[in-house]
Amino acid sequence: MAKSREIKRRIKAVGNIKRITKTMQMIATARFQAAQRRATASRPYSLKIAELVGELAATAAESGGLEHPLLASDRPKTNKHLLLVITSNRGLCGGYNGNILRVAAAKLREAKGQGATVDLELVGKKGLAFFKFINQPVSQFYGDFSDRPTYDQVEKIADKYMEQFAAGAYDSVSVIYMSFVSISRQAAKAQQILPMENPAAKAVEAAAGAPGAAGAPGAKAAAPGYRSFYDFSPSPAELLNELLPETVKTTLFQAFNEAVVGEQIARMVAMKAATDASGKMNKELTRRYNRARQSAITTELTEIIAGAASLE
Amino acid sequence: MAETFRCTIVTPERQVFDEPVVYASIPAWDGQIGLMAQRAPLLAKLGDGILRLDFPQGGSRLFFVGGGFAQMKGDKLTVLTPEAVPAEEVVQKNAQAQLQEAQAIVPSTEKEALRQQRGIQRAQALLELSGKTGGN
Repeated sequence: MAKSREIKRRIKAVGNIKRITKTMQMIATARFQAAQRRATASRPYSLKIAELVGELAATAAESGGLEHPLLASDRPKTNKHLLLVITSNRGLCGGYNGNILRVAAAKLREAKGQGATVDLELVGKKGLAFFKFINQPVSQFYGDFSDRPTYDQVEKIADKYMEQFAAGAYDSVSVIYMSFVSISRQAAKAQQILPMENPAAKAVEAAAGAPGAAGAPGAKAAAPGYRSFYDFSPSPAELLNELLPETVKTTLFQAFNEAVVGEQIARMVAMKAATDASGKMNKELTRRYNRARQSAITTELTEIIAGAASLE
Repeated sequence: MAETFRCTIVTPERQVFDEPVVYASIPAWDGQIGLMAQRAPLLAKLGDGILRLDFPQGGSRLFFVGGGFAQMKGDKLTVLTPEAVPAEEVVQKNAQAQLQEAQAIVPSTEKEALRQQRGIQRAQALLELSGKTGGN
């Protein structure tokens, strides 16, 4: 009977765990929906900013080159890079942090291989534990991010990076986070936020590419003409100088938002798997319990019959 | 009836406003600009100030806008700003405190002077707005 009691205890324990994971799954689902809503709500702003940059860049490119401290330029190299890694504060979310940290560690190794130094900045307690474990010093830890990052918080970090970058402290600033591809697919990604790609070069490329593909020389002439109808206040170049930092901020904000969405999806999936697994385990344990009980009964019966037979 | 155009106000976190209006007064960096339907395309930098929108059915709404950009294109006005507060939510007391705070700065560098200037401008706009709606 000792064995069946043991199994019964395990059945109860598994049942309790199942209840917890199921609750966590539901919480993650609710948080995911909220995070998804926020991420969607922030999209129009970044799209519009990108659109404005595109339009302005083309105009600015026509009236001469584009110079900005945030753009890639051939300035003296410091061989120093800054890496911001966004991880989660809490665990129980499957491979979420592991995937991000793997990409981060690879990036660190790569930089070390090239003899560059990396300043590591971090969001999320899970990353902190990891880098402590591999003895990698973290130069800055942002601990005050919850699962609803606000624009103000992100703006402060972006402002700091832009200032440091413009002052020439770093060759590049990148962020490693879980990017949202689709609901069923997220990928840990390293994205360079500074220096920025030159939007003018991109605009010129697009202008050169599009009419060429269409084979209509008229389209090329029409596009810049249409743009010059704009009233700019102040000048396009000045506007662009104001818009570029905004792009950096929205890019970083987007990264934070996607990271939160990714975390909740990962937790949802992990907790669903845990709930399913505990259901299966429960079934298996119940079967084993019944078998143990049955064999105990059989043994008892055999003993009684044997005892009765020996009395005859 | 006056012609309308669509106006959207977008902040990084959400879309605040999206309705047809007949007239918009936007706080550009160098002063207010009035916009009506059929305006030529415009791209302007915004300062801290008051955004007024008049509705076709009469009445208007006021917002405090803290910098950003405005784009008018194809009879659609898009205001992109990091901060857009409806007038009803502006609190006079806070505005007063902000004004005092900004005035208390003793600028020693050009950057600080600019920051002070911006702070004062911002607080004054907030104050004016709270006075208009009678908020407290």
